[in-house]
Amino acid sequence: MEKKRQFAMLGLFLSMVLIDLASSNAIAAEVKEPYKIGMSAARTGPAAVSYTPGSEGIRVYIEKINEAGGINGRPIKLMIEDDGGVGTKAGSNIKKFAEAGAHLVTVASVSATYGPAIAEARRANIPILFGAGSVSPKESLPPNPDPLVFATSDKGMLADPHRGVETISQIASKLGIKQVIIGIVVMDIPVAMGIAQRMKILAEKKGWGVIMSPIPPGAVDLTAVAAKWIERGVNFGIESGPTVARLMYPALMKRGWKGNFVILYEAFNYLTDIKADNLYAICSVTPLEMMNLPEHKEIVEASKKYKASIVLTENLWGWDTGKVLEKILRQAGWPPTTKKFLEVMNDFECDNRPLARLHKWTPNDHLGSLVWRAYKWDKKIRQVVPVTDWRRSSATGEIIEKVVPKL
Amino acid sequence: MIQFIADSLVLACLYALASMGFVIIYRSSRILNLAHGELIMLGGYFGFVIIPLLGGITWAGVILAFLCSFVLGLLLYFLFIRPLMGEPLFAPIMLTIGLSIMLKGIAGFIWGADPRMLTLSLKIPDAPHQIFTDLILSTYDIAIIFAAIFFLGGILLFLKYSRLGIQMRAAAESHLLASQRGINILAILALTWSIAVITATAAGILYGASVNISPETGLVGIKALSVAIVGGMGSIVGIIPAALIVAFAEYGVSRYIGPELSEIIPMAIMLLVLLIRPWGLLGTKEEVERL
Repeated sequence: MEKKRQFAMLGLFLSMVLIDLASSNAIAAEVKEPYKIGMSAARTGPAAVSYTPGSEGIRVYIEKINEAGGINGRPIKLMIEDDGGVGTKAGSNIKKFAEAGAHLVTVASVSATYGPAIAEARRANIPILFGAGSVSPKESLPPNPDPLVFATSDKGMLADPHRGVETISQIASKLGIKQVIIGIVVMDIPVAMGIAQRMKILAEKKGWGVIMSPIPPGAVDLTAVAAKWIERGVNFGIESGPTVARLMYPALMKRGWKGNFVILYEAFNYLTDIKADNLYAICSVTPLEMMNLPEHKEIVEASKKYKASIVLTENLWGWDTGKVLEKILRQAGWPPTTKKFLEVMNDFECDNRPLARLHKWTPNDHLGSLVWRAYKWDKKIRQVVPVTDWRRSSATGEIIEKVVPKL
Repeated sequence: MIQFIADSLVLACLYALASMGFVIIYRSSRILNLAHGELIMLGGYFGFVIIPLLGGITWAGVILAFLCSFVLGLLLYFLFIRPLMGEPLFAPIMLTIGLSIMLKGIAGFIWGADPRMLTLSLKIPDAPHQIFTDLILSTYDIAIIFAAIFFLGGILLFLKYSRLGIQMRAAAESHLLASQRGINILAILALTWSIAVITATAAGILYGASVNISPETGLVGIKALSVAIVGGMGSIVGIIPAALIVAFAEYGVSRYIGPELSEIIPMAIMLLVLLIRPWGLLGTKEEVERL
């Protein structure tokens, strides 16, 4: 009797072990290895205002994809590290991602981080995508882009000066201003300075007067710059660099400036906060403030659901980059190797219109053409409205054409 | 020229307001509070949050923000500074560095990195006013000038004529002697911290209204620190010439040479003063020797 009971107990134990083994095998089969993406973003520091929304846009989009079952049956593991806009930190972030087995890395940060980030990506031989509000680095531009460097950024280092000057030209012509004197206030960081210097050359070619005012990151008071502009009769102001407009515009206005200020980079919510007649913002996406697309609603809802720390038009850049990432991963399949990624990315199209643009990459151009138009606050209808037509330019900005919808 | 003088004066008043807290705390406890810049930032956020809560009644919001600052000052003293009394001086200084990083992080977590416009909460736009033909000052420029005069004058009168002020001066001379005379040193030091945080809040609200408020606003504190050191860390009156020198030099360089160079001016003046007169313009040599 005792033996029988011992056999029964042993049988029970073995069957439990078998059940346990079987179930753990089943779980192992269900949990597939994820696609690993690393994102280095300026989520703190002076530039965080420009890059937190974009990085949140990517995160929210990827969370949405994961909830819908992932890509090719696999989840995406997004590793996010803050670089604070510091180059060395961005470099060590990319290194960290590479060591964690990242298949692809993305950067949403200031230009000071690009060199170290690209160097580490090269070392690890991982594709690196600049998006979510970053300026497209020169390594992504035609005709000889770096094989590993790509950009979804609507901010083009070479194209931005063209679109700044073109936009001022359009607004001046609308307002009937014949003699343009522009003030360029620029944060003294590499790409912003490059953009400002090119803008100066283009403006001078048009016969405009130009005053360029570089300011260091962390400047707290621009009253002196404003006084200089007013004294020199500046009638158009433009900025280059994160948060610069928010320092310069109030400094000008409190001295009774009567000119027009164009924001090249960000701050759509600044338009809606200030509600001024003479403040314009250039934008390459259909701004969230217009709320005229079904996707706007989807973005707001997803941002709420996945607890985005901030929801602005700038989040759309991240959402746009998220869609590009999704398509790259889908086309690359599994296992994702750098070779596969590069095959996909060198002959790539992702149509994100009308929210954003058509991203088209070729072996000779890792950025594609850019579109934009300018907006301002309309006091009568109390909403942000477009004030110029859509324009399209090449990645390097030289060729500019008027575009009719759809973008 | 008159605009140049007025702009520099406004900047000097802002720096004076921002540097007062450094001096007040240093005088009483010999602690260099390196979190003061972040307290300025936090003060701006107090205004940003509290004023709309009171339906945009600016004066009531500002008073409530000052009350919150008073309580914050007490908390900071009793939670962080008091336990380190008697420790080597570097301990509380290191603590204030930690505190500054923590406050900046907390502000970023709560309000994000997006610069906030305090004028929206205050509901008073920073409109330009033509004072003379060649002189324009904005609403908050004028407010900054008056606030600096009010706080600087108020604190000087308070220290000179009020019972508490005299006790604060006694405590600043010697904690031991003051306590032997029956002065409650703990209460006096706590009050000092509260007054310093109130001045920081005033500077934060006015800077936030004039420019904007963000977790990076603490950078104003670095310039304010140079003003405090140039004036003499223990001298409230020293703030006046120091703020004027730093502001006029910074504004002049920014206006006539370039804003990039102007950012180093406060530090350059501070280094120069430290080399020539380490105790500052109106500080005392004994003060430095005592340390």
